[in-house]
Amino acid sequence: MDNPVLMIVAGLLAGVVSGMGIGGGSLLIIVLVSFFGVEQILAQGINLLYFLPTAAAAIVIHIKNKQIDWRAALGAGIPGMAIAAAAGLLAVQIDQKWLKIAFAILILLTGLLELFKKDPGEDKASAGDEPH
Amino acid sequence: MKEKKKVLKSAASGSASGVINGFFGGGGGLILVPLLKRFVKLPVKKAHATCVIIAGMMSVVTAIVYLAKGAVSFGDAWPYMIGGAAGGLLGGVLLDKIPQKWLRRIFGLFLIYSAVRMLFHG
Repeated sequence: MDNPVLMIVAGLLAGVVSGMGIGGGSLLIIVLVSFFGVEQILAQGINLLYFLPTAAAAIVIHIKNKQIDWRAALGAGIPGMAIAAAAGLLAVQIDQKWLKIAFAILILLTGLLELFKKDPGEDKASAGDEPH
Repeated sequence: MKEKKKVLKSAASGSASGVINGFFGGGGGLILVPLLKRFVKLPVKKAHATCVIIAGMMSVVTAIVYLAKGAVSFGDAWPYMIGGAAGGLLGGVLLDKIPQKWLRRIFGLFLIYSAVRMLFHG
């Protein structure tokens, strides 16, 4: 894949989805590995770098809308960072074949969960701030 | 005391998500959003928004690891970063306006299709 326009469009689409908090991270890795033929670990690295400005832009909007729970954000973010760094070190060292298979299993399970979630109306019902 | 419990539950959720986000270079939100909703009991929109900032924190440190180990460079990633920044802004605005139900169903189908493709086409 060496067409910058297609690359920007792929980033844009994945950015919309991840800005909404729906696993857009996995989406870009899938497009890169499965459709653009990029190696798994490189796709994951691109996804990490790509996500940073995407997240920064989305976070600005969410802060403006007062949608961030700071206690949960710091409580989860600080231990999450330490563990993510260790897991990242492992990922750059293991056999790429296994990394790809593990990733495929992760998205298969996620897909099944999304599809067969019991109550799809739950999002709206528990939001509590939607006028009906 | 209640707030302390919330921090502990958040820490457990963040740790679980950190394993995924660090190992796969993303996707921490896949388990973090449901954990923030059901376990930490955040309202839906707050769970989604808070997930983005937690995933951002984890991705910064993982990106540093990948860059230091030479697994990726900015030269590989810049077009996606430009598209992603614009898309993230748009997604943040749309979060308030688009029903999630069908979006999630379509996303689920795409994930299953892609997983099967990856497992059987190498």
